[in-house]
This record gives sequence, C-alpha cells and structure tokens, in this order.
Amino acid sequence: MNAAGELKIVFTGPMGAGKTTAITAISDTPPVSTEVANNDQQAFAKASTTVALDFGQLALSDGTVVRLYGTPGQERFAFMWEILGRGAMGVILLIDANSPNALNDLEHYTRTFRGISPGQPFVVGIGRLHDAADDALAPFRERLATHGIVVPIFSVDVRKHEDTQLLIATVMAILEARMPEPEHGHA
Amino acid sequence: MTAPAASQARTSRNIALLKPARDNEDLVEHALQLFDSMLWVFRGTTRSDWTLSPPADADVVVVHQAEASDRVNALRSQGKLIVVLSTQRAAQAADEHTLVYPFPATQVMSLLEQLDEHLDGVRVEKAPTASPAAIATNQNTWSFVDAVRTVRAARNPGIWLSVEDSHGPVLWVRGDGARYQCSAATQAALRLGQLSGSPLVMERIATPRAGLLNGPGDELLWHCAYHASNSYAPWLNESTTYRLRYWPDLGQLRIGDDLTTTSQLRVIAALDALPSSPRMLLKRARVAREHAIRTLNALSACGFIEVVEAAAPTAQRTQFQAAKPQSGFRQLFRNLRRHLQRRSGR
Amino acid sequence: MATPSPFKPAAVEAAQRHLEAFALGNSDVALTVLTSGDGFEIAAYPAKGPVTARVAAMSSSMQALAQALTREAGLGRNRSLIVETDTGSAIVLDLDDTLPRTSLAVIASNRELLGKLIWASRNLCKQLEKTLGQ
Repeated sequence: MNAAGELKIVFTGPMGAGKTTAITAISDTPPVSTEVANNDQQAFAKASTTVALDFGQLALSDGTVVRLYGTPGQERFAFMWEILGRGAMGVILLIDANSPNALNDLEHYTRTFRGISPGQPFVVGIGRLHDAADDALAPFRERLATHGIVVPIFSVDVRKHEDTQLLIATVMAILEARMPEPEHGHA
Repeated sequence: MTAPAASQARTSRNIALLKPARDNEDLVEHALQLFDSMLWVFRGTTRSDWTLSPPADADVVVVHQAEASDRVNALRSQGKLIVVLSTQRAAQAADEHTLVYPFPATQVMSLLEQLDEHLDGVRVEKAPTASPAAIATNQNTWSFVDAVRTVRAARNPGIWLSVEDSHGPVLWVRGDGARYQCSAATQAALRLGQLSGSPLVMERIATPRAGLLNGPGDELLWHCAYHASNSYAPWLNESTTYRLRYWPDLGQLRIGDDLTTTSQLRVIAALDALPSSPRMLLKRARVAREHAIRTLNALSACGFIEVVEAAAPTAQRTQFQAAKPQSGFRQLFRNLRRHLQRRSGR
Repeated sequence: MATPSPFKPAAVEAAQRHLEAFALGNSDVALTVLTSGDGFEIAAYPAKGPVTARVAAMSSSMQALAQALTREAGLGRNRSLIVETDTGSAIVLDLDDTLPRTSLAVIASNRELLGKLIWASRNLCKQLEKTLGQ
C-alpha cells in the first residue's frame, strides 16, 4: 500500500440495499462487519443493521491492497459517510428498486456523496428490478437528470460476483478516462 | 427491394430520391438513406404503395436543399410534388414538405399520407391505415437496425411486429420498440451477433406467442447495432462532436465477455469525461478501433449520445483527493482487472 | 426522530432516574446516554440535549468497531472503550445481560479523575443492568 494513504472504494446506500452482500461477494478475505440487531423494525423489517462500517479487501498480486468499505445505511450514522467517503477512489451507491423511497434515496445519497467529494467517480447499482423489459431505469436517470447529474446507473444483483465486478470496473474506467496520457501504452 | 404483399385496391405511387450533382457531404447521403429506409419500413402500412422510380416517372421527387433551383422548378413544372431534405440541423422546416435531418419516422409517414391526399385530390382520414402490414428490411447491413429505430420513433405500443428469417418468425418487437420477445436461443444469438444470416423481415401481427423471454428494446437495438458492422453507422460522422446523454444499462447489456465490457466501459467513460468526435475518441478511449466503433454505433443507435451543436467548452474537472498507488493507476487497474477476472473464474 | 425502545416504559423511566442520580453525584459529568446497539437513545441526562442523538449513534458505531477489533484480535467481548482528550474524556461501556445489547456513554470534563469516572460508571452499569433486566 502507498504511504500517501489507502486505496479504497466505498459502497453506500440505504439500509437493506445490499452493501454488506456486495462486499462479501467480492472481498478476498472474510469481511469485517459491525452488524447489530435492528430495533427499528417499524422503519425497516430487517433483522440486523450495520452501525459503523463493513470492511473487505482485494489483495492484488503485486502486494497492493484495495480496501472496500460499506457505510451504515441509516441517516443517524451519516457522520460515518463523510469519514469513509473522503479520499475514496470511487463511491458505489446501491439502491433497492422495491423500496417506496428508492427515488428519494437515490437523490439524497447522490447529492450527499457528491457534496463530500464532488469529482469522485460515482456509480449507481439498482437492485431488485422486477420488470426486465421496457426502460426500468428511466425514472432513476430522470430523477438525477433534473439536477443535471449524469452518472452510470446499472441494474444489478449484488449477490453475483460479476455484477459487483462491473460496478468496480466502471469506477476504474471513469478514473482512466480522466488520465491525460497512458503511462505504459495499452492496458 | 421486394414487392409488397398483395393488397386490395391499393394505389401505386412512384417516388424518386434525387441525389445532388455536387454532393460533398456525407450527411446528404445519410439523409437520403434514412428516407429510403423509412419508405421501406412503411411498406404496406400507408394508404398507397410507394415505389422508387426514376424522376421522370415519379409522382413525388425528394431533393436535397442544395439542389439547383432550375432543376427543381423544371420538375415542378412537370406536375411533380417536391419534398426537400435539409441537413442544416439548426434550420427550421421551411414548409410542410421540408424534412430536417434527422427527421422522425412519424413525420415522414404523415407527409407521405398528405402527398397521397394531394395526388388524389380528395381528403381522407389522417390516421395511418390498418391494412395488413408487411414491413420488410433490405439486405443492407444497417436496414434491420434502421427498421427497429423507425419502429421506436413511431411509438405505437398497440401493435406487435414479428421478425422473420428464411425459416420463420424469430423474434417479436412491440410497436414502440420498447420491448421484444424471443426464445432463449434467439436471445443468445442476438447477444453474440448471430441472429440470422438471412435477411430479416418484419410483419405486423396480433400478439406474440406465449412462453417467450421478455426483453427491453434497448437490448435488441444495442446488440443489433453493436454487431452490425465494424465501420461507422451511416448516421455517424467521424468529425462531428458527440456527447454522452446518459449511460446505457450495462448491467443488462453486457454479454459476460470481459474484454468487450472493459472496452465498452472505456469508450463510454471517455465520452462522459469529454464530448469528442469519433476520430478523437479512438485516441482517447485506448481500445481497439473495432471495439470503439461498434460501441459508438450501439450508443448512437439507442440514442445514448447526441451531437454537440456548438463548440464544447473545455471540461472543468473537479479535483478530488484520493491516494495514488505506487505503481501508478494504470498498473493498479491492470492488476485489479486480472484479479477480479481470476476470482470470477474467467 | 421517534426512538423505538426495546424496553418497557417503566424500566426506561427507572434507568432515567439512575442517570440523573449519577449526574448529581458526579458534577463534572456533562452527558450520559444509554444507547441501544443500533444507535438509538434509550435514556439520557440531560435529556433531549442538542448532541444526545448524535452521541448515541456515534457511541454505538465506536462500540461496534471496538467489538470488531477485539474479535479480530481474539480478545473476546469488549467491555469498554475510553477516549481521552486534553479537556475531558468519553467512556463507552457495554452492559452485560441486556437483550438487546445496550451500552452507556459517559462524557466528562478532565476535572473528573478518569479512574474514579470508570469506577462510578461501572457501578451505574450494574444498576442499569438490574433495572433493564427486570
């Protein structure tokens, strides 16, 4: 790892969107989790909730480690969002399309994280889309477009390794596109 | 072109597409091709049958705006109706017989019906006829893509079209192009660009048969356009600047081939970072030329990119603080891609 | 924010009285918050302070992180977490035998001796465990 800091990718999104699942699907090591019993069943019927962070890592062959952090989903832990979001290579927002608040969640998290670090690559994964036909992502795109925000929005199932891999690959492609000149020719 | 299906008491109209003598603009060619494709797609759906003919035999002559006025006047004096194609994007249509490229299919259809009425000298209902439709594609590489684009432009969700190859129906497209249905085998062939070696023909039907896979129209058009050719689509111009309107849903459109997905991501990300001409994009995206062209073709066919009319301002990048790997980002990305691919077993 | 409490109202009222008594007996304690494992304030003194809800959420995050650390290090269950600054200290203590899991956050100025504060806070925890366990 570089002495200048850590290489990290942050997964964020509301409670139940699949952040812990995504990190578990992709991490090389068993993820560190800070899940505790969820007492607020009225707000969200899920047995457990993350209160600090999820942590996983990708250990590359040259010794480089890319850290994967998941943020807590609930608003009262928003102080963790800034701690984790700052300095990340990219932020991946996961949204549950089934949630009645899906569009508001999308807007809220997008604005919050782009506020923390405006130039950061930002990729959105929408999970649990029922209707594979028509343009199911259009409402999500349009919601952000009303604020002049154009970011990658993909339908994903984060239980699948390749879907989480696509989200990370997109962060990399965005970073690459911003580099002025190749360092060593074609990748 | 093949003859349309036999129909009862249909009038035959002749139409000529007049290419300008001094044509130094690709766009003129594209505009004429688009009009030709639409004529083809509308076969059997308009009140009369429109057949291409030489100008001397034509009822209607389609000319480019740059056509010499004495030639146009000579045609008018012979009693021919004139349709003008304009390729000046910012221009407003001078009259109802002027089409500004890229003109929507519905406008062409409406114009054909108006011309038909004029030639008849009688008023008829404006609604398109519901006569048995046989919308055919020609064997041109882009004709099927054009046909699907036209169906999308027509926005008629109340009907379905079956797409047939020489062995029979292979897939079904809803009249607004937003949905398609087919078997799993056909869908796999579509994704790999192996839909059919035969010319595909569209025909209007009531509803598709039961038990088929349902897919979004973007998926159909994306794969057809991606696999259509390793040359630019006819409507793309190598020196025109395009910008990304929005990202395609690669969660749905990717085919599970890492090289293709990575190339597509790079092209899209490069366009997102900075509006570019295809020529510039080939340099910036750092992918094989063929991958870049195919991705651009698919992006443009689905409407994910658009022409930048004015000179694009220099992009203002917002800097953010992230740690930098010792080996540089490119080496990191190479290692990370390899790592993730190995983890996924590919 | 409505606070969903996992405990009976009578138990929460009794816990609240314990916190008040603790504050009266330790004048340099600025804030005590009894917090559910998922960051909700169950009782606090002073009640409804401007930072109470945030302290509740932060202390549960820190407690969860401390728990993750002791688990990774093979140290077993975490009992307490101490943060010292130039002007004071914050202690987060895990309550035994409460279901669901609960912790106590105590914030005091540095006029209070840390050792005495820990001792007094642990005694308060025992009282709270008894009250909430009933």
